[in-house]
Amino acid sequence: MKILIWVIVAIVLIGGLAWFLSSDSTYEEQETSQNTGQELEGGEIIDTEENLITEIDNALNNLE
Amino acid sequence: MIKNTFISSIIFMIILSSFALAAGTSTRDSSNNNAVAIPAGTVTTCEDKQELRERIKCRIENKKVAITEKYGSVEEACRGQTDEVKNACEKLYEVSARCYNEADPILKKRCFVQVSGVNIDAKGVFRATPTETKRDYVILLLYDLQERIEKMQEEGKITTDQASSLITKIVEIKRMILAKEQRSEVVVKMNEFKKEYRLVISSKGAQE
Repeated sequence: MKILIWVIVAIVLIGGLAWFLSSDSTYEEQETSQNTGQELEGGEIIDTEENLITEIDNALNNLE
Repeated sequence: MIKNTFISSIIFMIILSSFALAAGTSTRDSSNNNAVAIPAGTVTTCEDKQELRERIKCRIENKKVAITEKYGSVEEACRGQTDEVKNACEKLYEVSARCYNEADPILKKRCFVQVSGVNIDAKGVFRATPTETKRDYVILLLYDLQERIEKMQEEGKITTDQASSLITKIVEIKRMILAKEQRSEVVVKMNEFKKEYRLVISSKGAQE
């Protein structure tokens, strides 16, 4: 009886840990695919307010 | 002995599950959840103000109300649009929320590009993409500018009046873009904003 309980506890813990780790790695895979799937875009790096405004102007000029 | 083992196992599993729950909720809403201490005033809403600028000023002065209204009411720029545009606008704000937590400007821009679906080449020229994606991209950039102005006000670099006026102009530009107004008219409004912004920044520089 004692061994059975320990086996059940071990299964639950290992299963839980495996699920937790797999969901984390799935998230990382999604992040990686999103990053690599997008071509590195050009234009302004929006690090300052002025560069951001320049990027907005650029984007506005491309509106029809 | 068996009973004790069983009980301690259950307690152990409950403790482990609490970690998993904490990991889920901490990333669910990563916007500004910091409790903002406000004096025990009487302001509970800014929605009762008729003018856009007054509502914006009210929210700047009452951060707690601003946080409540951010989730409980329609985003200012999305108001006054058709239901279809309003829903798309709110959806855009919802899906782009994660971008504004990105500190790295390159990753932030990449996030805007991904969310809007716009396609920009290495020289910064927009490739053929639907006009809607270009509009969405401009709106995301304008919201970033709005957040930066709010931050400048919070840091005491500009006054509440200056911030309210600049943010009002940004919201008006966003509304024009959502309403598909002529680009030339939007550019005129953007030029007005830039003129005022540079005046505010130069006066700030003169004070320092």
